[in-house]
Amino acid sequence: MNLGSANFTAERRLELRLVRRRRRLRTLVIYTLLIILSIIALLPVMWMVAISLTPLNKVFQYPPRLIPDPLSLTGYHEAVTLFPFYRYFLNTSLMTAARVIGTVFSASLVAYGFARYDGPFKEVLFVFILTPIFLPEQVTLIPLFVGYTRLGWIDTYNPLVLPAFFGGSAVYIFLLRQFFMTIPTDLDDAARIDGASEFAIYWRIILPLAKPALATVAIFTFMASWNDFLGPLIYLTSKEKLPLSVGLSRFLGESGTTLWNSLMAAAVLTVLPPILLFVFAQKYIMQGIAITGGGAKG
Amino acid sequence: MRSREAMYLYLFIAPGLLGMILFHLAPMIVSFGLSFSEYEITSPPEFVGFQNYHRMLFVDELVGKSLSVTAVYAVVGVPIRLFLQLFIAMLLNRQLAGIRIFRAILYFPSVVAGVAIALGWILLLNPTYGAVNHLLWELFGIIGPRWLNSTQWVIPGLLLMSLWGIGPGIVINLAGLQGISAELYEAAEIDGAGSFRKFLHITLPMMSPILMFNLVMGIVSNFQIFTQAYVMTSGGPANSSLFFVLYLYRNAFEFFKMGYASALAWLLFAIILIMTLAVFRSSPLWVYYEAKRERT
Amino acid sequence: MNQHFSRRDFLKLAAASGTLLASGLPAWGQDMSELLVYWRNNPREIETMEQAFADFTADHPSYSVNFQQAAGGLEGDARLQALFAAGTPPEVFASVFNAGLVDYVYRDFVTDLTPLIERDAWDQSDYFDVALETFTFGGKQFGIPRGGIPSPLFYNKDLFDQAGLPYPPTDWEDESWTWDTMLEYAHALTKREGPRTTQYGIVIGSTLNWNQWPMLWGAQIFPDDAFNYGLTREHNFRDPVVVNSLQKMVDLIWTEEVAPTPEVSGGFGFFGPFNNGLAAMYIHLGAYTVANNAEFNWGAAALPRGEPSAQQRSTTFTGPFLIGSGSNVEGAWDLVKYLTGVDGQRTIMRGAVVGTSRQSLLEEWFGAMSPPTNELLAVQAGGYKHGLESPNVRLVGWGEIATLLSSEFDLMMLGERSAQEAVDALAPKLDVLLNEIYDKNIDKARTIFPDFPG
Repeated sequence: MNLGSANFTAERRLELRLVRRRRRLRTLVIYTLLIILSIIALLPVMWMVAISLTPLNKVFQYPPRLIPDPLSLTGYHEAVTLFPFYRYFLNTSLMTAARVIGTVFSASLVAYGFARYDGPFKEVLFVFILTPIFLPEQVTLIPLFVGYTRLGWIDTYNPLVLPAFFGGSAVYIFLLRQFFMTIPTDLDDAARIDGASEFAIYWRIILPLAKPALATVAIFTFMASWNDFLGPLIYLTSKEKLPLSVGLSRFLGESGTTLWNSLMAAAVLTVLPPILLFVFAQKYIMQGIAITGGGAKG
Repeated sequence: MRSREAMYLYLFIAPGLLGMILFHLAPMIVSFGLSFSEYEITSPPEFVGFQNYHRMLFVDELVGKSLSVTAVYAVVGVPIRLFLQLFIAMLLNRQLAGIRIFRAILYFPSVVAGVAIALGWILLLNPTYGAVNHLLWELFGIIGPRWLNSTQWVIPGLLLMSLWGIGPGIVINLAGLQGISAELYEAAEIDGAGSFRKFLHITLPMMSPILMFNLVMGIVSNFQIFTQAYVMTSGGPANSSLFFVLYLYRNAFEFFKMGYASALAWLLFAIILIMTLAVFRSSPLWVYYEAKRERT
Repeated sequence: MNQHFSRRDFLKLAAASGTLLASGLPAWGQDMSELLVYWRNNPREIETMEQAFADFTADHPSYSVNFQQAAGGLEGDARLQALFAAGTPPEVFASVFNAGLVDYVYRDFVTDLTPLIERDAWDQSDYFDVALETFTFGGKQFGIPRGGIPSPLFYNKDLFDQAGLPYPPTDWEDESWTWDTMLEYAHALTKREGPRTTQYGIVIGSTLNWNQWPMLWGAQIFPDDAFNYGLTREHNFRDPVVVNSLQKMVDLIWTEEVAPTPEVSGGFGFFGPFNNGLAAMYIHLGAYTVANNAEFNWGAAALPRGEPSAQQRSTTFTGPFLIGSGSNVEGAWDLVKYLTGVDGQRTIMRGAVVGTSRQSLLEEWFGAMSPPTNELLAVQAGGYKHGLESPNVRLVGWGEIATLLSSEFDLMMLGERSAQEAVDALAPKLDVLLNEIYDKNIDKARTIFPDFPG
């Protein structure tokens, strides 16, 4: 390196400049693309925010307006007063927290088993666990409801929360299995030689390495639970136990009586927590597995 | 050693197996039984043999119609989504200033899910008052189509709307991209590989398990699409958005034909299962597992 | 300080959530005095319903009411059937979801109220007759009306004044008030700016009730006796009068261009264009309180006659209170008596779209509205005299029939087919469907109605 002649340095400088220029151009292209995509992504959302701020009788006007005139907060007022918004918010949060924790823990355990061990009927069992997601939930709804009624579980959170502690949705087992299978096994083997138990390998090696995947599953479970409509609608009967998703439907009327502004206002308030969670969880998703020969970083 | 390994397998997967048996198996068996019966809720199911299956396969024209509507939606939708998910994830997988904000923004539409958003889209796609056609006119001078009120445009309209829901796929891909060791790329660069070759020889193979997941889930969710049609189009106009599960729901709860609906559900089950198995079976050809390579 | 979410934190959270779960566990014992009320509602009605339940439980301390809504009807049918399947039916369910009342009768979802009415000598003379007829099949009454209004023609008085047109009549016997006159008015009231229509002469409400259009010409899509037991093999779609009436309706949109297209009116919701002052007349689905929210002077008038000689008829809307079979029938009956009694009606009619079921309260209800009460009373009286409930609550298998009708008529509504073409495609399919429904339910009909003739 330190043997480079003046000539070599000049050539190299030119090359570096070219590379830098190409890089800058590429960055520009990427930014442009990202900005266009962001506008496209945000438009419907901005539109809905606009509707939430529009008086009900001005919801339909031409041309459509992104900045309502006149501005009205009636939608937001009705959103938090027409049903016990804060109570439902709390219900949704608790139910969701339980489901996220249950799923992340149990689904990763099961996925680890499938990703790391072999045994008779493994493939069959995997497909077996996956099968419920192939059957439309509409046809198991009545049998499930009847079953839960017999158990006395109607109007409790059990039907909504307990399954999360037994693997949760098979989707997440599948997802985590796929992720775990991208993690090389040499670290497991090293730990095994050091005398670590199999559970310790799962707990101390795989879980920390798979934080991005776990954060992903946590977000998805959160979203699924936060937006779950059919489950609470069917299984919960006491009004004070309902979640936001069901509360939202209160603004939907028989044809033509939908309170559009309140509906959109409540929808806007409802999506804030998942957004905040995503911003928070991004750190974990992005921290990277990034295993190098020198060990794990991040 | 082999038997101990099998023991660990069963031990770790036990919660999932138990959950499947406790919460899913019984209702699935019941619905399978119901598919051979007539069941009108207040009276016990009556066994009718293969009558429901016969009707489904040879008599009811709407079964074929709804299956083809659903299949078109899935066949067009799944590849587009797979491509866009990966493309956008790769854009976002860069260390650029402000990238976190872009990630949040592009994920944002997926958070706004459920009935409210479906209803919002009715407004957006309204041919006269909706923002979509308004923008098409203002920006490009195009008179937009009739979207949900047109037999030709209703499926494209729903597909367009579904693209706002690809956020989860992007996140999965991002998490997957983060898992690819930077060393691999560095090594390729030293060998003089360009962007495209790096993508082809490193990104694609390393991402293939994730792509496989997105493919399977794309198949499952596209074949089971329900809410959009139920809330937005009621299957119309003229049955052009009569998705299979919507037709199933109507049979179950609006036509009082729970037995028949169960038969429909098991047909869909078989279709999705066969396609999923095809993906699994073909996976050794195109899916690359780091863990497997290390072991064998 | 480690800011990361550690696995220890994770375990703590898991323990916490376990505790939360346990708190959810207490077994659910069915409280016999709790009355479950389940219905599809509109958001404005909830408050007045809750008030009525509060008043009821104050009078009847042994009961509590659990009021649940499936707003907008979303998956309401699924929830309702799950309740029945599990043997925990609702005490009272009001209004209908996508399946109709008579379907519930044939599936044993509802209680025959006739013995209770006779036992308590419950006075029904104040209810509108049409409403009572609507819920009676083969001499058995299955519901008590929770409201009732015939469909009038709503119009925007301000726009009529601007155009210098006389108001349409309130008298249903007025032979000069015909479809053609209405069409003339509609043309005079339609305004265009270039290719855009800025004001529509008329707007067609929900098209789900196809029967309204033939009824203006004195015809019907099903024979009269179809509704006695809710079963029929016949329909009248091949009748040229029916075809003509449907064509005239569609012509308002595509030929005369005085009515908004389905995409415009669909985007608005059915009431939207009229309520926003964008349409001068509104036919169908009379919802007075919705019109009452409008920021202009409005009026109600008789529906026009197709021909001067044709006696036009009006669709009535009368949601029933139904009592779930196998529920706490006595408690439910007490509640229904309260809700349809004078006090209960006075409370719930304030928010009700379908007004009141009691003739004695009608004046009071109309009194809260902007048009003169005597005008509204005249329209209501004439409308009821020629009123007929829409077939949706009175035919077995309506869910399937309605699905077929709307899928066959969609293209007609979009201007891509004539009424004749649509009917030609529909009629044979409807023949098959009606026969299928008839054959499937005939045994059940004989069981429920000993005097069933078929």
